[in-house]
Amino acid sequence: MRRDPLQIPTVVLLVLAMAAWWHGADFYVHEVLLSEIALFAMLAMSLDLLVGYAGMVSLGHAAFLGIGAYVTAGLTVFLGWPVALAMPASALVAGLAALVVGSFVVRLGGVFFIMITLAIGQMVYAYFLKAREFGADDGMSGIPRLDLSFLGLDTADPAVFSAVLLLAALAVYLLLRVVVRSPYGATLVAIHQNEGRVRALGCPVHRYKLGAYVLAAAIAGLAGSLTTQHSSFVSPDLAFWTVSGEVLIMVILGGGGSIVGAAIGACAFLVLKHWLSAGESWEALGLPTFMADHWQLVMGSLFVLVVLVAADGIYGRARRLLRRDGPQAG
Amino acid sequence: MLRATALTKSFGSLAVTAGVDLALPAGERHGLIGPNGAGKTTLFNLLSGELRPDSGQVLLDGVDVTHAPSDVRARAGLGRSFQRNNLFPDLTVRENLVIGVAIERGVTRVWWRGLHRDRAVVADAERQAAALGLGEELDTPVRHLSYGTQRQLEIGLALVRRPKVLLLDEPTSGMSPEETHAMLALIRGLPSALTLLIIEHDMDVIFEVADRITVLDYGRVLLEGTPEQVRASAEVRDRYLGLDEGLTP
Amino acid sequence: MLLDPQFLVIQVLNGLQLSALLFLLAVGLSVVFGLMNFINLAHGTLYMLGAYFAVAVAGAFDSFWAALVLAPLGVAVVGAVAHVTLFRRLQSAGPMKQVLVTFGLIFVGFDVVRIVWGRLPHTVPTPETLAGSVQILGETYPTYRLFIIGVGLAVLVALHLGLDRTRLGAVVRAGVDDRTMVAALGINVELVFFAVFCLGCWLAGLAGVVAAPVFSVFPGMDMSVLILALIVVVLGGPGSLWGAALGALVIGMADTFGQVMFPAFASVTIYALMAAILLFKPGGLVPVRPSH
Repeated sequence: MRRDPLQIPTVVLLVLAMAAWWHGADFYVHEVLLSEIALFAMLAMSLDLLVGYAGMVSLGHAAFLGIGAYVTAGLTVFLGWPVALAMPASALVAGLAALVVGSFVVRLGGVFFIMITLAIGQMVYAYFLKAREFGADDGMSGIPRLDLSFLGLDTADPAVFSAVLLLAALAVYLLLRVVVRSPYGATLVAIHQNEGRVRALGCPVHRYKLGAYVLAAAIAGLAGSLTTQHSSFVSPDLAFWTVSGEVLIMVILGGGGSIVGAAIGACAFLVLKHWLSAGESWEALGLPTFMADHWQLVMGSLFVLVVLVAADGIYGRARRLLRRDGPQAG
Repeated sequence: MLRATALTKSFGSLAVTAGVDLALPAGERHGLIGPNGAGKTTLFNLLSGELRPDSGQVLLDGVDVTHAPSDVRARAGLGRSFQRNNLFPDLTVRENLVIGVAIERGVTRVWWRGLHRDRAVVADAERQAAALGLGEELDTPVRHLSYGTQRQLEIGLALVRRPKVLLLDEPTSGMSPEETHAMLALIRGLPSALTLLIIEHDMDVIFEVADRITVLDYGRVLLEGTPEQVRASAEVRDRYLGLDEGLTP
Repeated sequence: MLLDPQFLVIQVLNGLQLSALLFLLAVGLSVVFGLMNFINLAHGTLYMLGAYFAVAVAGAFDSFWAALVLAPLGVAVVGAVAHVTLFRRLQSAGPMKQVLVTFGLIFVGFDVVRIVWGRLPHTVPTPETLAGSVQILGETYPTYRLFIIGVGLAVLVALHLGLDRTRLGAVVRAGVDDRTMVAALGINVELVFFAVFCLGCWLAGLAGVVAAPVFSVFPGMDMSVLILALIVVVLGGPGSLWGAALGALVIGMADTFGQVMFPAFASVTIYALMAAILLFKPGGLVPVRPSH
């Protein structure tokens, strides 16, 4: 609802930066860094709808990533479905799973919501870890990528597929921006601020929160489908709590409640993670190279620091600085 | 229009509402008074659906809403304000009212186009702000408003749905004499068809507004009658009015 | 198989042993949650630290008993430092930020133990006095596992007496009931909360120490146990000693029997149980506060 003059320039800049990076990228950057950024940006932006707008801090978002990944894996490998059909099916099944789970959990507020989403995420992980039909802890492999040969594109080419992923992330961004700027999105913000009053005004708030939960899960399911196409492999680790945690860190790091902040958070997190897990980076700092194995320590500390001193994250901080100088001060 | 029968609610072993009966015909202005802790706000919460009664019944316009949550009751025509300001503190005055209007018009389900496109909603919200005397404050975040102004918005939000029954919980509490005066004018200006139940500590306001008054004490109805009857009651005088400086006959 | 009494007894004892550990972990979480509406997601990390401290102390002094005394104290100190430097500063910002900070600390704790103790599992030898086994219905059962059950029971009794008979206990009970009232009585609530928090950390450390000789000590041992402890808290109802005990018993038994009888569905069943409780009895099995 609030005007956000920084939003459009930031997005344009981000898109241009990604395009330039993609254009000049080598095999590794296409295959790993850009693809991961796109996939996690999708996840983080969808989680921002819950955390930053509806005020539902979920620690189990990776559950829907896992569900989406396994649906695509199962449909393509076991049933021979074309990927183009498996992708919407992944989003649909993840959304349906969220509909079932959500009808229970959206009633819970605050800390209880954190606990139950964490537990549900681990439940999905535990299920896939034991599920023999899906390869248990070995997972499954041989998942094909989306066939775009009718466009003359070969998605086996890392440059092509990373472009597909980046465009998918852009599409997710545009969809979520439409949603958060709509009357529905404004209602989510109001529910976040004062759920009881929104209900007293005649709005069935549980259904609205459920809607956001389902949409976020469907996007995570789509991201899961793309993740498994990207790696041609799926394992229970996709649904593990650390993945949910990393996505939440990205949202908080980038700044919740703006969508673009979550994408920035995903970029910053992954660039930093790749930099920290390289021995040379530590060597350059004059620190022992074994630290490259312990990037989680730095990430965890950084996250604690952000929560402590800069809770509005990178984008939120930038926006506040701008507002302080601008005419809208006060 | 609003009827409660044998409403009971206990917290632990403490009966906060003990068999309260209440009947408000359409258009009645009804005052609810009683000492602190008499269970006035709890009764409001039972009537509006924030709380569920242990036993008893709530009828709204002849429909049993005893088990309906507050959003259903709101859609059935019940509006309420809260004792403590219960707004959206980080949103502006306009945004607060836009949310109310959008919910009332059922446009909050719209997710595919920007809220700013719904000009009618925004215009309606601005009109209501002007009617509340908040036309100058449209772009002020609510937390920056003075307490009295927030209080006005509190009532304004309760009125957004044009309710059939309105519950006002101490609308003038914490207000300056001028603000109280303005609030009184606002209450007097409410449509005559509206059924009003009002909790108020300011006896001047109650005796000015109410057609009938219910006195609550320890969760029970002590007396129900016209302002004259309440004023004349020795029991009420002893239990409540005599202790309260608000009484200026 | 189910009707075989030997099998049953052994599984019940295994269940009790897990219940005792879960109780030690959950009771601190639960009472802190009841008092401050703050859940420490790094509570499992404290359990892991307790186990690693036990590795260090038992190695240095060649004595399990030294570890049993010193390691929980070390964990309590870590908890106290975290409380003073981090959580207290966030008190005014509300529980959500505090929970997020504790979540970040899980990552930190995980890598700290990997840096200090490496990624390979460690073991702590069972103390000699408890290394034997006892005969129960013709089955041999390790004495040490009975010791774990005993520790759980002893802590339960001690906490019950402490809550019931001491002034601090009375303040804690009142604080779970109604914070503002306790503050109004002029009691230093902050200090009481701090003491309770440290006691909770100490208990988590204790759980880590007594668990160390039975389970291997490895980075990541914190998470599975954290989730179970959270479920116990939810199940028992925040702030309730007997709720934590009952919840620990239910989850300890359900997990033990579930793993033996339907391994594929055991964990799923427990999560479903938690969801059902949250939905139908949101105050938990032994609610402290009247439900609304």
